[in-house]
Amino acid sequence: MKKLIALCLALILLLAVAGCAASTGSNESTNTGTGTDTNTNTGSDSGAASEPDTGTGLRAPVSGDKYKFGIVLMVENGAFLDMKQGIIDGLAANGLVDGENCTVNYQCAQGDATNLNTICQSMANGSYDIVFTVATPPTQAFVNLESSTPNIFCSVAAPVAAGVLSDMNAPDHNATGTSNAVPAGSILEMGLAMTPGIETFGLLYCTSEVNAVNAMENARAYLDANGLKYEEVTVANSGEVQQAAESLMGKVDALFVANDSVVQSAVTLVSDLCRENGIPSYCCSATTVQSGLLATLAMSDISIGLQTAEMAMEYLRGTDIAAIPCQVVPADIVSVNSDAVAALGITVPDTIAGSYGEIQYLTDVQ
Amino acid sequence: MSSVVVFGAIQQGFLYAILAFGIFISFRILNVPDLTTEGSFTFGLAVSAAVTAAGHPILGILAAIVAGALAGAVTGFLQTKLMIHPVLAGIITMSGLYSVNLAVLGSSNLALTSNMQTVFKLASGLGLSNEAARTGLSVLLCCLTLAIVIWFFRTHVGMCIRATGDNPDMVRASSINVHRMTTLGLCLSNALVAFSGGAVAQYQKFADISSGTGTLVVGLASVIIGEAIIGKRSVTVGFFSALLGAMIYRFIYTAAINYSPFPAYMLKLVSAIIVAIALAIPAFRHYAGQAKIRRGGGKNA
Repeated sequence: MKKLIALCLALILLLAVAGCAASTGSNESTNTGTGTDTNTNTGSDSGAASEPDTGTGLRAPVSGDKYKFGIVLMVENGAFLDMKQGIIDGLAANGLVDGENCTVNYQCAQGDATNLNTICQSMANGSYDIVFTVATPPTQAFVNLESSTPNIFCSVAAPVAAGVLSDMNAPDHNATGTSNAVPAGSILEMGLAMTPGIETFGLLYCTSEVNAVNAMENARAYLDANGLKYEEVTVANSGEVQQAAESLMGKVDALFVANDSVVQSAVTLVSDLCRENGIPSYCCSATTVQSGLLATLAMSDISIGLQTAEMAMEYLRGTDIAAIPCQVVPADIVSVNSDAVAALGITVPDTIAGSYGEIQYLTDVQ
Repeated sequence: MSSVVVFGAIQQGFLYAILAFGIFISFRILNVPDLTTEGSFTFGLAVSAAVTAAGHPILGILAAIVAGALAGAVTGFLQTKLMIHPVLAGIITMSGLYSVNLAVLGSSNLALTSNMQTVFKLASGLGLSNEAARTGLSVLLCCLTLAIVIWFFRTHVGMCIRATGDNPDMVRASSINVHRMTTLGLCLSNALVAFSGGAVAQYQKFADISSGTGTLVVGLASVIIGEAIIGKRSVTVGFFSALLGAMIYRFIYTAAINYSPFPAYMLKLVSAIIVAIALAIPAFRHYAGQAKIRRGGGKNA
């Protein structure tokens, strides 16, 4: 009985502490808000004040006099953190600087899926102006709360299939954002243009990497449609990558690797093998190019974040979420590893930039 | 805390409590470390989502329970008949289930779009608000499960499973099939884990191949926090303490997410420290008791 009472007391205490924290939190934000508001208004954004002086007047913040944004990640990895940075940079480029005239609350489930709903619920309390979610699971978790807080998502590969909107042009769940798909076909096509004469592609991937499996499916579809041959070899862990890559040498004219964290962790071995054997290698991300493979066609993760922030600005300028179509971000940057170019003794044709987009040259990262 | 956060924590606390019951059965009653959990949780999630997407939410929950029992049966078979170490048997089933789950989901992610029925929507169709339906159904599912498991572990078969965990040699001497009891226990444990997954899938309205990560830790922590507070007693009290532990664990995380003054990357450390403090309650109680004895001793000397 005593324990039961103690327990109840403990729970009440917990709730009380929580309640206090909540109220102090909101006080704090209003206080600092009034303090800094006047100094930080830069004219291009009129912040809380609803003075439409330059015609670019923004919505009033939902609570306090500063905007409050949330960013939700499932796990910290290079790509997601770049997207998050892109969003913050994009807001700053529009005059909304975290800690000055807006608050950005960043939360990450740290790979623990059970935390995702808790994080999203904590941001659906009505005090946020916009909640940004990076990649599919956080977006679904937030959208399914049916919150009145608008959601702008970043890099959801298939928003309609994910159920976050029914029509790319008419968002209907108070959520819109950017979508990106790995353009496997375009990468292979660019490969054929960059290093002509390829008859057989080698496909190297890990079977448990869903993104890689999907990209390879698209790659096979492209190769089949264009009458090209391919040799596939799969791995289950990064220890098998070297042997798998060796088995392809001599059999293929070029290699294709997807966004595959298992292959990525051993990709420098693959890169060395390809250079020794004079085989051009194509991949799906600039990170893999920096690890030594020849080239990719992609959108940089920072740019996706920037574009996501632009959509948020569109909302803040007064457009309803339902009137902001979901954007598919095109892959428009060709990343080429100049060390690989030198090792293979090839020249990048001038037509590449015209047909596929700006070329950025990278070198091996040691 | 805003109401959506408090209700959210309560709802999830009850849903994950069902997972904690499953862990309690394998970890405490059967006395077997079962690592199938993350696989069977996702299996339940995937099966429930797939069947719900086909238009049968209630069947989805039932199918998830059956799926989990099957996963438990596989682990049990590996452990008993093939004499594979329990930890390895669980790992084997868990990793095998990854491919099975991908096959069930059809891709890495399956969404239950807003025009699809879920059990929670069916409940709100009874005239409840969304929040009330979610809370009510979570509590109902959890309490129903609690009643059934408490009843089951008082039946003859339930007693045999408990005895198997306590002393397999004794049970064997009583002509009870130890292998069958262990397998049955694992079936029940994983059925509950998958039940929890199946309910969570319909609660969050999507199933992702990564949705099971972290569930083993959640379940174990819930069981142990509950024991730290209530103490190890009978099986019935054990289930109640698992429920309490699951609620406390969820509130700890909710508090860490909402009120931590630290940056986001500190989340796991902050919650680890709070969990450690919760687990240290018996130790504090022990020291307090000793101090009392010492004081009392001084008075009487």
